[in-house]
Amino acid sequence: MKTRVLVHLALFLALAVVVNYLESFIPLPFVGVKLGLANALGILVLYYYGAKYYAGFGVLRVLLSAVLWTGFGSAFLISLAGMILSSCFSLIVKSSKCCSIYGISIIGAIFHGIGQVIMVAILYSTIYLFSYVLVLTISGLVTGFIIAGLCVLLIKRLPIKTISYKEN
Amino acid sequence: MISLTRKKGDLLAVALAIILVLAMLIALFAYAGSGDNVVTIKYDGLVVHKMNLARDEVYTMKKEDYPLLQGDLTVVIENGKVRVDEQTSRYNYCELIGETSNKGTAIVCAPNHVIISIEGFDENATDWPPRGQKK
Repeated sequence: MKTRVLVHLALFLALAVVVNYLESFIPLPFVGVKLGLANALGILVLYYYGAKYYAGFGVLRVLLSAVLWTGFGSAFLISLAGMILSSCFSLIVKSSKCCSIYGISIIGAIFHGIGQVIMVAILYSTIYLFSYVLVLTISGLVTGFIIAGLCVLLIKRLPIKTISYKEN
Repeated sequence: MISLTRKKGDLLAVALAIILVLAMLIALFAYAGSGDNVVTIKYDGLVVHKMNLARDEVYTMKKEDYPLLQGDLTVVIENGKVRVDEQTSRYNYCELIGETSNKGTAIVCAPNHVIISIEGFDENATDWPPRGQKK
């Protein structure tokens, strides 16, 4: 990995962790619903550096957040489950080549919520909170679209050629 | 290279995701059954109390008995609906969820490690004894 890429990814990661933390102070009307601004950094990594770095970026972001803020308790497991499911489905959608950045972002947001609910259901031994998936799906549609729009704006101001290195 | 402009495939992918979610919900409600009226309170994954949704009742969980609580937590059944009254966790998440009477739904108080769900009818378990107390 080139030093330039390493530095860029470290900056993206640091930004994502800080944004994720600051976002937790913004109260929203529904429990567990977040705008997911940190996911915008993930989408940018996917666009600029490809699938391999995107997957690693997501896991590192959750690990770093756990080390710095939340610890390795249930919050960590819930975040990790959301991130893994979200990354898997985003990458499936990306590899299908039929979707734009909007589809990738929305699918990622929806499955992030589903992954979190699955982990909460396992941790607390109940299937009944799956009804909350509907709220998270609707919010995922909205936030995923907003995040994709934000990414498009950022990418237009920071074209891929200015990043200068992309493996795939 | 990822396209920055919207494609038809976006709608298709989102539609498939929504169908998947709806299928999950239909399966859940089918599993929940039709005669649900038992409110189950779980603390740290363990059932500590069951209440009848058809009967008004107030049940308070004390922090001294349940150390993972952020403070005392009260579950209220009133007019066939269940809600949580608490003022102790950040943003009062459990109160924000509001009240529910729908089968297959749950009130999740993650900061307090408490989940309150409306589950299948079980006449013999409507007054489940709390942990550490005799019936």
